[in-house]
Amino acid sequence: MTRRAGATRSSRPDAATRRLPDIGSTDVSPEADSRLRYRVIHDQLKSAIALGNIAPGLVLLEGPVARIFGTSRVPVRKAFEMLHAGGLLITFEGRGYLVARADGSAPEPLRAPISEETLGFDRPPEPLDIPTNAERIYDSLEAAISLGIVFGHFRIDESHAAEAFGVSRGTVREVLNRLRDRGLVEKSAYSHWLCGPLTARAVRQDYELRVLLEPAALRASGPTLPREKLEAALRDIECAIDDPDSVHAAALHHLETTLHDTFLAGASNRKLLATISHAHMPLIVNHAFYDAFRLHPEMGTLTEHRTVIELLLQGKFDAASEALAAHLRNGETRTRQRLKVLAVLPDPDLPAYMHRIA
Amino acid sequence: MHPSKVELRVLGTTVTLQEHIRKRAEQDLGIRLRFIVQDGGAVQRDGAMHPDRYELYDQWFHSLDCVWPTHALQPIELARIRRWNEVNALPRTGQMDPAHQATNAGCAPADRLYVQPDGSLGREASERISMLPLTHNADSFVYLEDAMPASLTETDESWAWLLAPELSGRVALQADAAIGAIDAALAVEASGLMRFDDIGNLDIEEIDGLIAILKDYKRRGHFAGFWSSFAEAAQLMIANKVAIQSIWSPATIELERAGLKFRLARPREGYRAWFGGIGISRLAHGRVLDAAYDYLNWWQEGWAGATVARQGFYISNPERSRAHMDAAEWSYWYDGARASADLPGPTSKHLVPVGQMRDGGSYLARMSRIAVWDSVMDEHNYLVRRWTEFMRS
Repeated sequence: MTRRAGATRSSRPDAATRRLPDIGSTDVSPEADSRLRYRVIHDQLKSAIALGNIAPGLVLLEGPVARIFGTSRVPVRKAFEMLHAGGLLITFEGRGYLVARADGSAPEPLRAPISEETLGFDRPPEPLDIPTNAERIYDSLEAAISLGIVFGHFRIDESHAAEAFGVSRGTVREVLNRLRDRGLVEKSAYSHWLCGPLTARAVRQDYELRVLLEPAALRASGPTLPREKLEAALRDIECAIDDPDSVHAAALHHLETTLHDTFLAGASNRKLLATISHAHMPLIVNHAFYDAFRLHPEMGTLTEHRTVIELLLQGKFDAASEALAAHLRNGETRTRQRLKVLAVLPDPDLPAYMHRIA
Repeated sequence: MHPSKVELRVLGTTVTLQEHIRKRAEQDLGIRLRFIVQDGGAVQRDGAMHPDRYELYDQWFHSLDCVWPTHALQPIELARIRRWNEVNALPRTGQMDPAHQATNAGCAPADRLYVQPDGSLGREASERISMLPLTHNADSFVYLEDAMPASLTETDESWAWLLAPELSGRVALQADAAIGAIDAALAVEASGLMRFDDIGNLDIEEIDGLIAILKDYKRRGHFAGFWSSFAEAAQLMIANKVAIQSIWSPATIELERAGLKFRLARPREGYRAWFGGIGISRLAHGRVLDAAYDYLNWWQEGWAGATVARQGFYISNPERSRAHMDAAEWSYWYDGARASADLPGPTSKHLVPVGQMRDGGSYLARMSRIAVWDSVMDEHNYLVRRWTEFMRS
């Protein structure tokens, strides 16, 4: 889950220019494939067997191997099947597989506790920080749904999505359930997955939440911020104010992340920060707006940022928090105005698994 | 060598982009004018997304909510508007005069007129405006007198008539969400089916409730059609399918020509009003920008005001157009008096027969009875999706 957490932490409202991932691409690249769990497990066991580091006849069971790799049993089962197909593991009367001899013949079963040592690893395997299928498709589904809800009301076809991504329906369901927790999709009485349309109310509620929480986070985090960091942020914002036309997408994203993410990160209450990062509806609106119009930031946004940073530099943390709250309230107005504009945009291309209801 | 003529492209709807107006302006100004006529939704989309495709944006003030945040338009310098001091109070302050407070429900034009120091729009006066306020009107619905049952005509005209069961199958509404939904909301509220906190800014539950009622009426065959141009609106009535429908005044010219015996209602709940104007693309500059200002100023010179008056709507500096109408015309269109002679239409010799009286009365009487302005609501995006669902149901 570390990867997801990283991704959501950059999901910041006025961070309007963060590019949405390409929602059209659902192919799994060879590179991504090599980072799939079952393949990592397969490759490590294969090399250990080939090097003779695992005793022939050792009985391999899914559960203990999964524990060593820190995964569920599913990728282990798949790795075992592949090793079996390759003749490195063989089946026998009992549960699990036997490690074959180098010539492929079947030794007597050797029942020994399975550890890093008996698996022939000289050190514990790196934790498998690689995406599961669900994590792999999360960004694409989230991006497609985020874009879609701006333009209407949709039903998400679970089996079409599974086909499009080349994963099981269960995997799609897992992701949709997670997106439901984040308020992006809902399940109808007939178990249809529904999303959209995006409302001004949802945007307003997210801003309400942020106006309550971000100033609190800044009050806690402000005293921990090093002076050099604040001075660098002030220089950045001054440059942007002097020449707003020079502020392209990446630069705007950097300004937004600095204020709404980096500056809050010193707060010790992780739950608080996680809740803030979930108030993401404004981001969806601003994405769609800036994608359509390629605008430079409003001067008001920039000068409000400067005020907050200046107050932090003066050590006036309460005043900085209040300035941040004022900035968020203005952001709400700006975002609400942008949402009205979105009603005139032509429909974008959406994946075939999103069926328009209205 | 003469420099080539400047060409201006004007993006707008049939309300003001009329051929006889185009020809007259070309002749008066010595420029070329190209009118790009689309329905309101398409005008707003191109207005917001393609400022490179027009020099002038001729639209309603409420549509600024969909266009101004994109920076497609440049602020208009009041110093370059010759007749600004003649513009009456309604678009500037939101009321006709101190004695007649107009409503602020919906998108009041005064709230989106002046460019504020932070670039947003507001009521606080400044030296720059978003669009030059020009044409406007108070709209309601039109009905064929002979088709109305006594149960209705015995009472005051009301938006509720649009939902009267006696007229089932003979009712039409306009298709545009920002306008049609407000007419529908006025009708639903007048019928006592729902009450809205702010009819110009419905919330999600109110929109859901409104759409549910409308879908129910539609399922029962209450609506005979939905129109998106004057021609369609007029045709619905001329073909005798529709007995009552929400309307814009220029469409009544067609009904007049077809010889229909109709009335434009003066609903007891008040009118739905709109204010039109012209804005300038942010990409216009140099000679083109000069010509754009010339065109804006031309609209306030009187001739244009007179020609729109003959279609039943008003101009923001009416006194200047008085000189372009004879006394009988002025009394009929602006004072609400009985026609003392046969009066001409915009391009025809005869439109209004002697003795006729305008429904709703004088300019002041009509424009001081506004229930709501056309509106782009906070939940506009949601409303448009739900309205589309109703249209398709």
